Amino acid sequence: MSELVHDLGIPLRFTPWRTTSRYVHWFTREHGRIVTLIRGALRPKSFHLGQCDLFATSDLVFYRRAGDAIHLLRECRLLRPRPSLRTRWAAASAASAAAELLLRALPPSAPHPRLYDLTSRWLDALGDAPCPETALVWFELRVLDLEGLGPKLDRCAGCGRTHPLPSEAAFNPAAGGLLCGQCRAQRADQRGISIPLPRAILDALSAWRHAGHPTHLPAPLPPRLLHPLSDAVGAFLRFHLHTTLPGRDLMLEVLREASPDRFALRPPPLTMDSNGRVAKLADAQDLGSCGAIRGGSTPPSPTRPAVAGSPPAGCPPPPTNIPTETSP
Amino acid sequence: MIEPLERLIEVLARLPGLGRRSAERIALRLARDRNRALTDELIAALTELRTRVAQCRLCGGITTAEANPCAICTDPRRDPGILCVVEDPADIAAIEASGAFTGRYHALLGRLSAVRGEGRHHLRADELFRRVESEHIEEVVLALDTDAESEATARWLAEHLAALRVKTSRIACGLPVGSGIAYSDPQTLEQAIRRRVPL
Repeated sequence: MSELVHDLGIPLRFTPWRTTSRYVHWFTREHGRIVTLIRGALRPKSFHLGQCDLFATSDLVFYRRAGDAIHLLRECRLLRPRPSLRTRWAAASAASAAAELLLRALPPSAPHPRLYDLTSRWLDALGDAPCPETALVWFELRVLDLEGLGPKLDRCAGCGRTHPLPSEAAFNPAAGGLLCGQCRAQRADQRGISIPLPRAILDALSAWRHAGHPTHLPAPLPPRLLHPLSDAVGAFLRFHLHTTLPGRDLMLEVLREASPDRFALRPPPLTMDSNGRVAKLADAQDLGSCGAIRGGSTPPSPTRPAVAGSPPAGCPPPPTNIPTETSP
Repeated sequence: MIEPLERLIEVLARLPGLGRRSAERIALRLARDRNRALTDELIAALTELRTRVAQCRLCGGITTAEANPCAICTDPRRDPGILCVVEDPADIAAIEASGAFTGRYHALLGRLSAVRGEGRHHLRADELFRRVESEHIEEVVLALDTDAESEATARWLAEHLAALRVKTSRIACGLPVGSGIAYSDPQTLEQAIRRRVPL
């Protein structure tokens, strides 16, 4: 027996069904992640045509079926189209990576209104974000916090000691955050690798954690800090969500290609071993000072088009000062 | 269900537009094919498809192995200076049916999408940039779909094409012929009014 319910939702993915129908994977406020079928969605006279778009908020009425079944959409009305995500491809790429994260991280039909509100406000702000990759990493950390999986950044994840953390604390996904030197040495060969993060990144992370409203995205980090941080957060996500995020890597590749220093600071990808641990890719000596990130600059592809000189809209040039605080 | 039939149903159900029930109907119809005429024809057609059908090495559309590049790419009556970029080879047939375009095509075979696992190297974007330079293309028409990811892919392509100093345009977006304004969604109406044409 199905029940008619009303909710707000953001489409994260469309998948085709038959010729003109399609499934819509929604993140709804009151029902969590659900899938609805829109019959005849692509017919020119479809009542639902243009009423739902990726990353836009719609008001929807659907017949809810029991369990994780596919629900049937009855009405849909576009409330907040977010047109800037259609015109700024870099922002749309970050939104696409965020959609992948939500699709993989959220269990079906489990309401999470706080995460929904965060996502909605973050998408509002993303269209104007000067650096979509910074905004994406910030969002990922917020999602982890709301899921109760946020990395411990203000104290050692091993012994709990708050001060003094070394100037280059090690970020260990398996341990759940930063490790002091002693704990890092103890865990060296036990649970995956530790990724050294410079003090400037830790300061920025601390500022992000204490910054308030999701409509105020943090100021862009320069690529030399952003890319190591982004890769460390990616390793953390993969470890704690027990999944890969291939789309995230693809979107970061596109965003970094657009970055002015796109051939610098490209790390090797972190992978997980059969036990779900982050695999060791290099010896500790090779990592050195921010060295886990330093070694792997990627040469330009021989097939790359001649686009250098006028980089497209990705990250802006690195600022001279490191942001330490965002607006409340 | 016996094993060969079950296997056929599983394969058929993977095809677009076919669910398990439709796959069962087709499989049972083939199983009842007494003199094997239909089955033999199907096998012959599939074998020919496998051996003869290929992807056009220029546009990425569907052609035969012996006519590669395809008929559109080699047609001398086509305008060689204008290239229409589509996401899927099926879109080429749709635009051809309209009869409105006389240039050549380029199928991207995807779009930038994390949830679909398609990045820039999954697209035939580098081939497009090479074609623009080697074939001295004067205009590229981006005929991608109109959802957010396709729109973003079009913008991404436009930025790269701008560096190649080629004129780039996007197909217009507006009301479908025969529809009513009162039944149109706000986004489509906004696009239709913003991109209105003088009479």
